[in-house]
Amino acid sequence: MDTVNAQVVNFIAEEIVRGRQTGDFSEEVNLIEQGILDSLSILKLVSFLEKQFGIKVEDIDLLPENFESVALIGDFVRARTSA
Amino acid sequence: MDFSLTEEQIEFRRSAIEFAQRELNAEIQENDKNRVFNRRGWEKCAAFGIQGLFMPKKYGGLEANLLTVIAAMEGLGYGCRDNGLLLSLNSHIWTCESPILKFGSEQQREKYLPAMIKGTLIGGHAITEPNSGSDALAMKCRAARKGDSYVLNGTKIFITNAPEADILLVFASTDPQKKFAGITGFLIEKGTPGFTVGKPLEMMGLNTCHLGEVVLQNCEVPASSVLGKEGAGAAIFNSEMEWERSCLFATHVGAMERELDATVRYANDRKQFGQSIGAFQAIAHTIADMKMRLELSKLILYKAAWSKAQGQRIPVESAICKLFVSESYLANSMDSLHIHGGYGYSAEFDCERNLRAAIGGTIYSGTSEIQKNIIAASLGL
Repeated sequence: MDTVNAQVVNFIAEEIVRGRQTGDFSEEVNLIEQGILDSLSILKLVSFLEKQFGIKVEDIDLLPENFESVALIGDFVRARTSA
Repeated sequence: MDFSLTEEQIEFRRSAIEFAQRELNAEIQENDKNRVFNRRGWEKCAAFGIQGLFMPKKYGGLEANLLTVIAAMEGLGYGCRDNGLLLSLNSHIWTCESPILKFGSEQQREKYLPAMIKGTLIGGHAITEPNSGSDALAMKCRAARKGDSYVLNGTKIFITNAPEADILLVFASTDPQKKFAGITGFLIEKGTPGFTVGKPLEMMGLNTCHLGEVVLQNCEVPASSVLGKEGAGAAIFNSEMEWERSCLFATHVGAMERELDATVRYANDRKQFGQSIGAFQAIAHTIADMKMRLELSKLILYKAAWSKAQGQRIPVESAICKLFVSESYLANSMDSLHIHGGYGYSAEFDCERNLRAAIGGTIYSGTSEIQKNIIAASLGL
């Protein structure tokens, strides 16, 4: 697994899911439809991404097309870090 | 950290107090009793610059920095005894004007912001539904794409400013399967076919601010009325709530200070058992508690505003701010009423009207329980 994606998976497992949900959050699974990310936990994830990868995430970036899955989150982070 | 106000900000706060005391308090008791929205007061506020405090100069605003805005709104809260007008103004600024500035297209900004700043357009937002209050994003209102337009169906309730509003930011689901990520914001103007607003609802307090029901029945709007992008509704809502919870309550802090000053005056003037009631320790300690809550409210308000001014995202801090200030205003209003005794309970004084307004503050913009949920969730609970 890509290193960015792996860090995102670890964060979701340790800080958001915290063992309370045995859902699948592998790279392609839809985190929103599965109820793994909600409107509050997505903000927690964004804070992590900003600190961990030194990127700035604007409110208007908080769209399903950027945060629906680990793969999309990874793509978003990589696009921002290479910009 | 330095949250102290500059001389200029203190002066602006003072001028807001004088303006509000001079222009906004006429017939407040009658207006509250008869549930009359103070449109003349609204226009005077626009002329003073309230609706454009934070807005860029290119749209007619004052482009003040956020702490200056907070100072002015605090002054307005101190000087204006019409709590309903304050809520109407705050709702207009933080839940409609501000999202248009932040998420709107240039065309939308130019179309709405100058008139909203001038006070000729009144705005608000519509998210709450009969069956989704605290769980706001579980809304049933739907928006279906139809070529270059959307067709909205659903009902909204307790919508602040709705009976007066010329424009509402209406939230609807464009993709229910995506849950919160399928919500979209639409700017809908009064008079749009299929968009109807009910009469003002009878509420417990804040009577001069009208809340109403909004019904969307095959309401067709052009795709250009989408604010931001399709699916950005939750992001817009979270953003506006953060601004509102960080800034709306500046007027509460001003009102708390007014309430404290009135209570101290009364405690000194009122004589019972041969002395001022303020000389009794039970009364003095209660007033000391009021002062403590006021000072701590100022501190958390300024910190939240300062953080927002730095461009930070502060969902937890804004929840703490909203929770603490609104609960403090309620506690202070109750203490003030008790100290005023029978006069406090009388509708002839401001105490009972302040108390009714303060209760509302613990409900709108997310109940106290929802703020605690946000705080608890941030701790991993």
